[in-house]
Amino acid sequence: MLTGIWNSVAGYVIIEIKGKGLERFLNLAVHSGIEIWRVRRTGVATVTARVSVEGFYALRTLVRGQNVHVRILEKRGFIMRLSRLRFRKVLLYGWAIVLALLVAASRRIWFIEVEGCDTVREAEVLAALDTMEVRIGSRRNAVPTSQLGGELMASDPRIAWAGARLDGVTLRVSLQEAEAIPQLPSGGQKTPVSIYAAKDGVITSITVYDGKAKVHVGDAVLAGQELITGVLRSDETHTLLTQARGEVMATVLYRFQATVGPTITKPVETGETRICARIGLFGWEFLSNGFAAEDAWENAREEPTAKYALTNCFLPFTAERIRLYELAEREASATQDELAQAALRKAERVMSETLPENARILSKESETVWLEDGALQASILVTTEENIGEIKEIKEPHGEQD
Amino acid sequence: MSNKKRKIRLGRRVAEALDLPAEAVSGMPKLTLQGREAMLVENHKGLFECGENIVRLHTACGILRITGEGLTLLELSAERLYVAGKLCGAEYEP
Repeated sequence: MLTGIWNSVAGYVIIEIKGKGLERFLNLAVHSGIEIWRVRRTGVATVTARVSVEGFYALRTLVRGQNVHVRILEKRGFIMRLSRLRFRKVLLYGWAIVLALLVAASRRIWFIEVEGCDTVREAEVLAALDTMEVRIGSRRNAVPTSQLGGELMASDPRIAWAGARLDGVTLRVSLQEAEAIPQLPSGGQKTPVSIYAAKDGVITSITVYDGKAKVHVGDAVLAGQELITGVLRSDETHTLLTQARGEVMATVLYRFQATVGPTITKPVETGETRICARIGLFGWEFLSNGFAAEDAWENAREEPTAKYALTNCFLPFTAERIRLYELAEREASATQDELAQAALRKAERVMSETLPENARILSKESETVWLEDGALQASILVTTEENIGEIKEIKEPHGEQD
Repeated sequence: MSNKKRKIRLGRRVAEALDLPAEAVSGMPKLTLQGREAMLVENHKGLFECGENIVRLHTACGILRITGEGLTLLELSAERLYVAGKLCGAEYEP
């Protein structure tokens, strides 16, 4: 197999050997060290065979006095194809130019990928790189990847760590953003504070930057309970106070309820109908008479009455005849499913307004209950994990500060 | 007994004594058949006839005749010959 690949690269010739002592000539050739393959009888006194280019020149010297005649039928191989192109100078120059352009292009940066962006936007990182003369089109060897990370960290305090590496023509920048440390209340930088629970919950993790933890993971806490205290030491003579800082994550249980019914406002058919046609071409759809543009008919219910499609053609074309039923928002009796959906939507709306942005929902269950007046009450039970810490000034003074 | 046959017998005895492959010492041909499509002949002494339906070779054991249809010599060297095609038989001529 390797020999075959080598021969197709180095090139070989298909020859025709004609004469009386063919076998004798072949034996002479192989004993002279000439490699011959694919020998096939094609006539009474004719065989075809394949030999390498060097083999063919060696054969020519053996032909003398052997009463055989050797001629080339075909030249094959990569080198042979290249040799045919040696007179097509424009093509060769074209390839040379393309090659030179590729080499030149591979020495520059063409893509910049930034990963690890959360609060720091990618555009800001690119702008920072731009000020360091690193942009698309910059020379690769002019980009100091070992220094880029340090310069990026210095350019933005939100970046805790940054690294850059070149991957071909791509500059990959990795960021690790700094975690936001809880801000102190605006009362003053030196006011001693503690962290209290803003809600009831069960502690899942506690990280203390300053102060002393008063609760442990797994503890159930009530709203207002002190979680991280700013009182470091308190005895008869000395009290040491500080500004407590930290993050207390806890699972918090919420219950959201909404009641709807027995009637709800929903789109109801007014009895007005219109017939129109819809034409589709290349995925775009057009309604005849512009009914869809009118507000009253924008949300009308459609019912196709006839359809014609021409999809086998190179122009994908569809035409439909549609009956539109006008809809209007009115108070109407609703089915059980409609009531349940409306109640759940309402409860979800309350939930999205109430839940804090940083809360991570761990579980969510919903249930519906029929009330006596025919209304339906939906309840959503949500368990979240969130930071329940709330910074407040220390409630009970522990004596004078040192 | 001719000198050639004596040489072969001596080579065979040496190969048996030293536990060596017989074809390596005595120069006897070794035929390897691959299904019905190809045959490798090692230690041949030269091509005697090359046709589309028959290939005849000189070997130390005599003339070996390989018959078949559409025979092609995929490899031809001083010691190896690789025949491909639809093989029908291989026999030594009497």
